[in-house]
Amino acid sequence: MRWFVKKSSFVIALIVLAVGISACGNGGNNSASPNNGGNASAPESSATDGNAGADAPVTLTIAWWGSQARHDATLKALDQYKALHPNVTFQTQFSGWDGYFDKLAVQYSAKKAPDIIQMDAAYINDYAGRGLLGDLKDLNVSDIDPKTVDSGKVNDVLYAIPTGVAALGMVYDKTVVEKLGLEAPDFGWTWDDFYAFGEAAKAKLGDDKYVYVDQSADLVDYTAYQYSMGKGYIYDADGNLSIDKDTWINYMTKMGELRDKGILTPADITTTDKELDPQQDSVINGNAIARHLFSNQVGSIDALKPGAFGFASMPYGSEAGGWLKPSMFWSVNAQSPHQAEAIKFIDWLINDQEAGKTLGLTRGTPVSNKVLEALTPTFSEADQISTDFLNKVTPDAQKFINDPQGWGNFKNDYKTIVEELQYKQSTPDKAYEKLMKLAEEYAAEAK
Amino acid sequence: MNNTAVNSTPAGSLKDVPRVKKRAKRWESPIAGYLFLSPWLIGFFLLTLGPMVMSIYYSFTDYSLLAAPNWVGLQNYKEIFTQDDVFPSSLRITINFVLFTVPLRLMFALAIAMLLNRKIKGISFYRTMVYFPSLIGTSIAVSILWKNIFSRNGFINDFLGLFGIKGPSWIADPKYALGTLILLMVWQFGSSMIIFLAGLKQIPTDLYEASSVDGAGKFRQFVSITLPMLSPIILFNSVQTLINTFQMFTQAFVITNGGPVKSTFVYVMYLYEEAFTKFHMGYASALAWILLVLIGLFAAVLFGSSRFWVFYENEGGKRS
Repeated sequence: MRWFVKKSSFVIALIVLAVGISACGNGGNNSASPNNGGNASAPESSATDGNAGADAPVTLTIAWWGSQARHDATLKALDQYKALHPNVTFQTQFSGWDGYFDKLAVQYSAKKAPDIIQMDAAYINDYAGRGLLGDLKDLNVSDIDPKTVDSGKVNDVLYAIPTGVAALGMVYDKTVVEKLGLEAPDFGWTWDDFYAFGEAAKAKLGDDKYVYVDQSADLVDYTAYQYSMGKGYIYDADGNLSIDKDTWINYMTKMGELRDKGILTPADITTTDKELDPQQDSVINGNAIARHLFSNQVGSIDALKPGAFGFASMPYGSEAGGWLKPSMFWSVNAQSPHQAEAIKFIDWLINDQEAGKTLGLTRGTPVSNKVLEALTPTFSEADQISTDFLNKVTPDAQKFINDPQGWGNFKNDYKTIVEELQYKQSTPDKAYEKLMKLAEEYAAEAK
Repeated sequence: MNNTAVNSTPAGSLKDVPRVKKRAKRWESPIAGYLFLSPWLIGFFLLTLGPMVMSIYYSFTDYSLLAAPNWVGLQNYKEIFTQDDVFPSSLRITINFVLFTVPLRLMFALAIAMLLNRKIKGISFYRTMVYFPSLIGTSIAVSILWKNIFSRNGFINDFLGLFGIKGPSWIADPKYALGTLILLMVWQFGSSMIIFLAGLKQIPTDLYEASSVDGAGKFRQFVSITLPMLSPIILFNSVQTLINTFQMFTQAFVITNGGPVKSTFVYVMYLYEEAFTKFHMGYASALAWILLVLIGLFAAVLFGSSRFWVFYENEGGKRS
């Protein structure tokens, strides 16, 4: 009896253990099964096809961030590609912008990053510099403006292909401007116009409403200001920060004045403002009239209040303030075993007219001239506005340069420093000193 | 195993002793015991101890997630203590947070537990309802709810507006943001409350009866009976809450994202930012170990002080 109990308890323990382990292992088995199924049918095709199994079944993982419209269009495009290439299946990972790059870094460290990655200009140099992105030399770029292609190159190697182009400008609430009887901002307006519009609008708006969303903590705004003052880009050719001291202090002092007058949103509204969020975007919820915007966001903001918005350029100083920027890129994971298949897919995505029609302007104005030509007749009104916006900024657009390697996060720390100004915890001079100290730390680490 | 089994049986019934001994013998082979434990053991070694050991190693390297680690010795620790401005400021915010949250939450939990310890009809329904928020306590959803309630145009300000008070933007004002988070943590009192409630039920009612015969009022009873009898549980809850609040992350991340102007940039948020947005994994590992030592120190102080205020009845009423 005792023997039996002893043995049986041993057996029960073993069973518990076995069940526990198999439960843990289940996840792994499931995700591997498509591959197993693939292997079973693979010999047939690879036997007949000497070309290293060009049509062998393959599963591509693809990741992107964006809005619902972009998710829907992309998923539809994936289905179209699957119909054309039955051997390809996709695993998708899509989300909003928040956390996208945090997740990607962790996936890379676990060697589980997606095969195809939507990439941002802020991180191309960081990722390419660490050898994490594949060379896209097999991609057909003959229909794309060479300057656009160059924006995805690091040390003359193409690591990322722009999905589309966007221009920096401004958006304002047309209905409010008309109601107040003001002259609307327009393309080509100057900083003096900007200040005058602010004063005039504030006088009519009253205490609780503001004219501009305070975006001075966004490095984009200062970049446009420095450009417009003729002081060049905020990074020099060697990738060092090149913020002009007087220009920066003047800008921050001026913004402080506008904040005091109630022309810019106060700090507590600014800090909870969330661009293009139906409730928290201050222009959409009516707390303010205008803010900066990229042309590829026209569709998103127009969808929230159709026809309510007008668009303008960034204010001009001695030069233009706006620039053209690749809205985002496609890259291939250098650790992926399916790089050739991934490139083939990206090639289709940017060069194929059907794909172009499906995606529309969800990733900016398409880079392929042929796709754009085919697409133009099918434009919606918002698409047309977005394209006009782009075309108006293009002639004197400033040069856009990807953030240097190691500076991808600089804009976050920059924001904290300017926030202290917004909450009046610092002065422009002190903030500038702090900024330079921060820049030294970044420069030291980038080396 | 054998010894504890024998010792824990009541000495009164001699008959029972042999049977218990026999039962204990059946389980003599430790292998079966370990096998039963194994799912947990495997999880502990693989998912907890393994990463912990790795993080000690990483804290002495410049590991960056995307590139292989290089040994740098004590450099991370040296940098944290000598050059880092954010470390002391985030630590100060965290200790502030802990010093307010722990006592407030315990007082609140105890007060509610005493309310729920009455004999009223349907008391278990009230207990469930009061405990309910804690089930969803640390989740993202509650944090988002909090964010909306305390925003500029949120519920709190609408309510204050009824009385003609124009409330500030609680989560967007550096003066109030941390307070809003403390309030959220205090509100999530459920688990401490449940433990207090169990403790209150353990206190023999004859103590109260006897004291009321002697003329003790409610307050006197609370100070002289409830608090001493509950003191071991207060100690347990303090340590538990202390550890939790030191590690607060979700609320700060979701509601204020460390802002405004870093006023809620607590230690674990700093750790997270170093690790996952700046990829300074080695540095972040060092920060994590410093936090562990700190929590250990605070807990040690609590345990050390316990001999002055914790009362164990089964030791003959001796304070030990």
